[in-house]
Amino acid sequence: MAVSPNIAGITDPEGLKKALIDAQYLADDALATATYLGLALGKPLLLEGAPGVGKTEAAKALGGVLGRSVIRLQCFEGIDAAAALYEWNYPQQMLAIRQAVEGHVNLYSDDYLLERPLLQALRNPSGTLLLIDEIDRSDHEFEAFLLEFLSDFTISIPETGTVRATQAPVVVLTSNRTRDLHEALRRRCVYHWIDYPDAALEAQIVMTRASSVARGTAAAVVASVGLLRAEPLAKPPGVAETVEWAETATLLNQQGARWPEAFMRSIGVALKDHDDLIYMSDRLSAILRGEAV
Amino acid sequence: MTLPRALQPFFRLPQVLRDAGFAISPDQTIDFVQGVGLLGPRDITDIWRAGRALFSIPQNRLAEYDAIFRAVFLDQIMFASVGDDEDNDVDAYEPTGDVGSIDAQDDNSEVGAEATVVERLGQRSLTDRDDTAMDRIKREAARALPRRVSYRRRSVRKGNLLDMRRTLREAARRDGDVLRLWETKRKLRQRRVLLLIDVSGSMKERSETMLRLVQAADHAETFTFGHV
Repeated sequence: MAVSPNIAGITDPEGLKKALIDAQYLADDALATATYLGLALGKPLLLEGAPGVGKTEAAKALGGVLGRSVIRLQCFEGIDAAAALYEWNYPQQMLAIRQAVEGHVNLYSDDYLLERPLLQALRNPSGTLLLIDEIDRSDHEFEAFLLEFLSDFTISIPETGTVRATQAPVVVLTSNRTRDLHEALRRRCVYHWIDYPDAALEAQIVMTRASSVARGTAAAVVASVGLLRAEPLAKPPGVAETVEWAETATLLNQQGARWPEAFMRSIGVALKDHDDLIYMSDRLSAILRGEAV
Repeated sequence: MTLPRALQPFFRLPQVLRDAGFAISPDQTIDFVQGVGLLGPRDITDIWRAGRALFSIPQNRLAEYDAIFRAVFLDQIMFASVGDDEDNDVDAYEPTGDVGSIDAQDDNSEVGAEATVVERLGQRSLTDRDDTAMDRIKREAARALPRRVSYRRRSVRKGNLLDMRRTLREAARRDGDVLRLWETKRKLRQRRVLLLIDVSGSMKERSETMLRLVQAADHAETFTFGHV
């Protein structure tokens, strides 16, 4: 694999970190380093972390930095190669057969090919960023298939031939680590674990993403979210929930609600599980006052 | 082909990680070396991050990786093994796997190996000196200096890892009767000391004392610096 230290004018991790900040994504040094290495070495980037820490956002921001459109393959249980590669448009092929009557019709041309994310990325490797989201949700068989795809970036279509990428596309995989990925897949990737950001960084993220939120509000929300994450919740609030909570509480405050009532009334954007809300109901006001109980 | 000493830890790290049960492929080792080159590296953190990302170290094994990285890059490079071998019961990082393979990775690197012959000052003799205080320093330094756990193992009656090789060798001599299970344990080795001595004008009065200390501490690698 060719090593390219200059990626779209970015020559080091610091440059990439600054570019990501310009794209409204505050990355730490370790993430910038791993991402830079992935790009420079032409290897897929595997981002693991708890739900809501900003893995998908990182990929989208990277797409923006590189000036590429993001093609997203959302994985799910039971996903198969057809959903990831291509399918033939059978209804349209049937229509073509009827229209042609006795004439010759080529049913296996691009006109009848429904490109799915992997094939789309392969056909335009320099203009796209392939995001394979939540790979841990897919089955082992699909993971094995991806392993092969990520090795040589080729797809064989029996009816038309092999599609080979002229250059390795930029690929980002994300995983919530609901299960361990196969070692072989991990070995082919540059790996980075994204943790919840520290309080200062998270407050900065809130203010970057929601410009209407005051510094004090951001700090209060981040402190409360930190305490909530320490609780055994079914769905601890992620960074996106922190931003939304700060935004909605600010909106309610602007409409006349007082602090901390504005936080209390908008708790639904931070805690999105009924059991969690019941579990926290007694202690929520204390947490919002910054008292760990 | 013998690798330059400065490069050896870059290839030893994946080797020790493999011994500890990490699945590291040769391709990853190449990526690691290339990645470190891409990053500069500006400091040891760059190497640590490159290793973590390119060897795909999962979060739950980060502490293990950290310990191995420190053992390979910080202890083994900065400090050479000196002094007599000594048994110890220090609980340190224990790579799993074949004891023999660990033996093969003897850590006999020396501080100052990259220094030129002119720069290398550690070989001075104290024999032409008659200084009681300095003699005492030299005598006691070996005991007082900090120690580290070596990779080299020695066979002992009571250790913390079975010495299959010696046990089987003895059993073979006795027609297959295993009379004793030999075990192995790590040795403790003295850390090397690096002395950086300011011999510029303002330190002139102390310079001679310092240089005598250097002669006394013959386990130390020494560099002096000052204005010309």
